[in-house]
Amino acid sequence: MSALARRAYRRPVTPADLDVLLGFFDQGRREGGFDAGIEMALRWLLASPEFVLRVERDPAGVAAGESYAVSDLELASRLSFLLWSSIPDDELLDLAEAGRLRDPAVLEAQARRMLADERSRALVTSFASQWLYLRNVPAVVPDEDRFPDVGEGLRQAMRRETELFVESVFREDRNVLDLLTADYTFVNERLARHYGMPRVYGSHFRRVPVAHEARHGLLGHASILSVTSYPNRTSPVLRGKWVLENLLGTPPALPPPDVPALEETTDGGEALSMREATERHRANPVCASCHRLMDPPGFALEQFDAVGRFRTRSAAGTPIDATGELPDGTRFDGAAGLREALVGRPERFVGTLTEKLLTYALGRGLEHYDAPAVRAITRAAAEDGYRFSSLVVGIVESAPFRMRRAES
Amino acid sequence: MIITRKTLPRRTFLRGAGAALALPMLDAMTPALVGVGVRAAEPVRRLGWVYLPNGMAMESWTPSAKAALELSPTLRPLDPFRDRMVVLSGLAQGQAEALGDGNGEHTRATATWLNGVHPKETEGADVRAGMTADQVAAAQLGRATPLPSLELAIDRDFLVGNCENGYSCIYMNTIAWRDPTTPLPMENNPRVVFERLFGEGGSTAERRAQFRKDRSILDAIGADLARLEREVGARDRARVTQYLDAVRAIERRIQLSEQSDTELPELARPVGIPESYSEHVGLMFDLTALAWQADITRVFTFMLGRELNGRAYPEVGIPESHHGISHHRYDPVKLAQLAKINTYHVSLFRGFLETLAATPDGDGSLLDSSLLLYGASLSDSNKHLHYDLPLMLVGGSGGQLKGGRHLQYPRDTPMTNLLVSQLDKAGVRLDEGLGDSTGRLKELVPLADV
Repeated sequence: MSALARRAYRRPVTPADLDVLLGFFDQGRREGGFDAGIEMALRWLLASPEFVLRVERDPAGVAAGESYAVSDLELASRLSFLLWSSIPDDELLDLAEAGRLRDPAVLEAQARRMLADERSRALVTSFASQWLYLRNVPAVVPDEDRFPDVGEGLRQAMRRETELFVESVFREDRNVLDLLTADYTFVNERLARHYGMPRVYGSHFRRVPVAHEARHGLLGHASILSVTSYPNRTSPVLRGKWVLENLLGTPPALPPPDVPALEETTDGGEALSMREATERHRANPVCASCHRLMDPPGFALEQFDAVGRFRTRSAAGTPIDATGELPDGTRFDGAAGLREALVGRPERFVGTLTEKLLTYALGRGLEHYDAPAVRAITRAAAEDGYRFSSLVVGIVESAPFRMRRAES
Repeated sequence: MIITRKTLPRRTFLRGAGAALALPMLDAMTPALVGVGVRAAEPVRRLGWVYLPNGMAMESWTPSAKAALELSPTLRPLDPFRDRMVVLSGLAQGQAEALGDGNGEHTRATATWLNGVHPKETEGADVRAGMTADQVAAAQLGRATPLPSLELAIDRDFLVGNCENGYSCIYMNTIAWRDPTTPLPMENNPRVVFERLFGEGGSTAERRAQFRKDRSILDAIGADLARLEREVGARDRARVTQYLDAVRAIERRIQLSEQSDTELPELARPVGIPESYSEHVGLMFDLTALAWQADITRVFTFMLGRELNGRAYPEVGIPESHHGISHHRYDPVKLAQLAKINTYHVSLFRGFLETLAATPDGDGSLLDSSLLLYGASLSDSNKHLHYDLPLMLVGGSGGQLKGGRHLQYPRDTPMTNLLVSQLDKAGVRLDEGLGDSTGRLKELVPLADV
């Protein structure tokens, strides 16, 4: 019981803690025997505020508004909830209790150990699914007339593909640019059929090489291509906005009121008219100021339809024009070209991922004073080949993660 | 001091620990009960707010400019309830305007709907709006019930993404604020709602035996939380208070259960979230009706969708995005589609009204004792207009609501005046008005002779 209380409270157990626990145990035992006693004590443990809430207390002698390093025990909890979405294990608690976790070498070793542990899968299901909008996949309801095949099975497969893929990059400690460029993915028969990949049978997922270059990396995932589409058509604007926000970290401003929407194409010439309509829209200078940045990445992804199937021609048979350029003038053609342009300026993508991960780690939006930490983490990661662990280690060793400001 | 809500999956933890419990304690303890027998002599008043996203096709919503209500095409499904309805035109949420802030029309529309307070423009944790009408009601009507209020939604919350730049996602996730810095989460899983209302089920005797065991634990939690509440800063106090409130709710339920022999209504615990929208909405309405019937709460808020919602409604022949259609540029085809979605929502609401009307309550039905506000936070969605909002009151309010009327107000009459009047009808006192309210709507003052 004492060992369990230490884990639940994430700190050494005091005699007072034990008195309370034994009190409940005795009460339960009197009423229903040993098992009932254990149940009662467990009920207390799992409902007690010290378990349910994470409390960080300002130490004595720190003035309001002053920054200080959090205690080793608090750091242990920050680390385990970041990497595992769960409580620290015994090894982490032992080090924290011994006052050794604040040693940067020890902290780094623990971060690496915990990343390697399978509990770090929580980073995928919790962090990545928010970052990449995977939580929206269940709400993807494509127009049944145009996409009669898309049902619950395919939706689940789309989401699973991206989870497994991100997990492989995170947990195999790859270069995070692989998220954009990898030439492998994970499919089952249903998804492989959707992608036109031959010879994949059965409902289990397996890792497969991706021969088709446009399909490499996250930008070729049906999950992402679908959550950035309308039910009946693609949207270069939504996809472009997604790329800007989530990969480049430069969210565009929102449209002004009474924004004219795109004309629906009536001749069925979906893609070409889409581009034309979008470009006409950009003739308006107010619209152009943002769409100039937002639309081109979306044009590149026009090679995929609203549920992520590759196409070279629109529904009407007109060829897809997937060329465009980034704000800095880099020109590209198609998804593969866009990817190359993104990878050509790796610090922008990696900086964005760092920002998102740091936000997740701190549980608060980033402020201007966090910017130097983000740049430092990104720079240090560059020297380590942008491996995922170098980002995580950079974050846990950064000032925002290790410090807090006393309540004013 | 900082308190961070943990993302610990407690169910998994319990399985891992091999413990005998199937659910986290708070859920496991959350019982059922039911104070029909202990109701005060005073008539019961129930209040509800139903929220629609992405504005309305106003031409199809607004009834003819007569004082006697003639149902518009959108409202036609409510024909059987015409004499229970008051449609209000011309009301505005002036505090939802930009007022010098940036983009964020949907965000401000959601955040002001029930309080009339301009929200602070921030993406950080320092969100600030105003206490909402439902929570004013919950603080008073909720004293007699196990749960002060119920907050329901269909869409999942977003913490990042799919929000408007410059504003925290939280503003669009909820229409209920306990106080200016405490937005209340809205629950979209019917199973979780069920467990919050009724616990895990079981017989009355089983539940009562469990309450007795839980009482000493609750006392200890309460003592710990009270200590913690004194230690923490203002921002974190809300979290501690929330937990404390949950504990108090359970304690109240235990007290009520000991005074009453009422059995729970027969119902099965939902498995999860139904795939179809209409079933999901229907189930949430059913649970609300049950919560009222069992007097577990008297106040609810329900968002039938979150702003910016891109849901398609293939079941009524709309395969396109709701938000996309709502920017219709006055194209008659799109307007007709939007009106179809609006009418569909009204027809789902009608199902709820039918349930309420069919459920006996005291001398009448649940509908007789309730007063519901149904509407949206934008009128013309194409322009994100915050005035001439589509709103209607439905119910009996214990004989307090004279129905069959279309009340038309000059533009810029605050919507909060309606909220104040609605609270008034239910006997909820407001000492300082609500947000930008300037008074009551005189057409809705409480009727003296009932």
